[in-house]
Amino acid sequence: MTEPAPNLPSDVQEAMRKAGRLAWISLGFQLSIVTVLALVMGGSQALRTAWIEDMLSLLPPVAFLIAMKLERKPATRRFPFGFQRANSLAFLIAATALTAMGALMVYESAMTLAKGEHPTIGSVRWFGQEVWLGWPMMAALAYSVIPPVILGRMKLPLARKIADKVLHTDALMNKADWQTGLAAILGIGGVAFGLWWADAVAAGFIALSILRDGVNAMRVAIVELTDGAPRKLDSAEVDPLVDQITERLRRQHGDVAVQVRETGRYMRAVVGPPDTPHLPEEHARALVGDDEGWRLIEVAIEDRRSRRDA
Amino acid sequence: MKNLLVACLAGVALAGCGLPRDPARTTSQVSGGVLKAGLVQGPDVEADRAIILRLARQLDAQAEFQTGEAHQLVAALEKGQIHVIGGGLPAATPFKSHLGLSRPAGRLSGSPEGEKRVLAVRAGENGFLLALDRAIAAETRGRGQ
Repeated sequence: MTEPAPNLPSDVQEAMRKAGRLAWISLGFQLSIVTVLALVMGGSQALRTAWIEDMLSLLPPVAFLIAMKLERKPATRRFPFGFQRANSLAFLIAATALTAMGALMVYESAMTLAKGEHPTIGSVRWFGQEVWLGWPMMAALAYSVIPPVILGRMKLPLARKIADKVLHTDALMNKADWQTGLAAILGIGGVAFGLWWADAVAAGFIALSILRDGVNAMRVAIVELTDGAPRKLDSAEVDPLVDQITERLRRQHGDVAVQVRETGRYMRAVVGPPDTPHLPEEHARALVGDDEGWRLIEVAIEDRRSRRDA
Repeated sequence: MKNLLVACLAGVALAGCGLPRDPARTTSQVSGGVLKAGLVQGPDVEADRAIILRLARQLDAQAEFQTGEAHQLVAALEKGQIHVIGGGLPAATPFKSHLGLSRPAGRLSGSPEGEKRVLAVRAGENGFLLALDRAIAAETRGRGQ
C-alpha cells in the first residue's frame, strides 16, 4: 500500500483552496503590472529595475501553485514519502527570488549614487502634447502598488492557517512590491523637483529591508532542507510546538530521544532509545550486507495506534 | 486607467509650475541668456540648427553655435560648458549612458538602416530635455505642413 496525501481538517482545506485562488489572482495582476510598466518604461533604468523585480515576484506564486499540486499526489513507489518536500523546495525558490530582488536593488541604488548618475526621463507625445514620461510612470507605479497591498494582507492569515512558508514568502514579496513601487513614486517625484539622488536613496532604503527579509527566509528554507527542527513561520526561531511534542512524547515513553523535523507544512517526530543513536551495526549488516551496511542508520517502526492520553 | 488619466491631467497642470526641474539648472541658466550648442559636422547640421534656434526662441535666449567632434562635445556637455548637442547623433549613440537623449528628430542622413536621429542634453536635465522635445515636435510639425 502506498501512502496517500495526509488528511487535512476541513477549515485548513478551505484555506488551502482560498490560498490557491489568491495565487492565481496574484499571477494575473502581476502579469498586468509587468505589461503596464513595460509600456511606460522608456529608457529609465529605475523603472527597468522595478520591472525586473515584478518579473521576479512571479516566482513565489508559481512555485506555490506547483508545490500545492504536487503535494496532494499520493506517494508512489519512486516517491515513497509522497511529495511534501515540494513545499520545502518551493520555499527555497521563493526565498531566493526575494533575496535576489533585494540584492539587485541594493546594487542598483549603490551604483547610481556612487557614480553620481543623474536619471534622465524623457517625454512622450500624447494627444498632440509632449508629456514628461515621469507622470505616466508614476501613474503606472501607483497602479502597481494597489494589488500587492491587498493581496499580501489577504495571504498572511492564510499562510499562518495552513502553515505555509511559501505563501508567507509570497506575502513578503507583495510587501516588497508595494514598498518598492511607493519608493519609486517618491523617487520620480524627487527627480521632478531636480533631486537626482531621490530615486536611488528611496529605493536603497526599501532594498535593505527586502534583502533582510529574503536572507531570513533563505536561512529558514536551508534549515528546513537540512532537517532542522521546525521553525516559526516568520523567523528562524524553533517553533515552541517542538518542545511541547518532545515533552509529551517523553511523558508517554519515558526517557527517550525525540527528533522532530519538518517536511513542508507537516511535522514528523521520531522516538528512539536514548542510548543508541543509530541502528546497531550487526543489524544493519544483516539487512544491507557487509560492504554497505554503514549506510543504513535508522529503521523506524511507527506507532500509529490512536492514544487517549496524548 | 483612471489613475493614468488623473496623472496626465496632473502632469499638464504641473507642467505649468515648471516641473520637472533640472538638477544642474540648465533651463534657468539659458532662459533670457545664451544657449550654447555644439554641432557634430554632418549632413543633418542645418535641420538640427533650426531645432536649436527654435528652442532658443522659446527660452528667450541667444543661440551660440560651435562645431566639433562628438567625443569633445560630449565632454563639454558633461561639464556644463555647452547645453545641447545636435547635428547627427544616432539614437543608438555609444555615448547614450552619459547623455540625456531627446525624442527622435527625424532620420539620420546617410544611415543605410534608416536610423533615427536625436539631440542630446546633459544627463538628468529633465526640464530642459522636455523643452527640447517640445521644440523638436514644433519644428518637425512645421516642416511637415
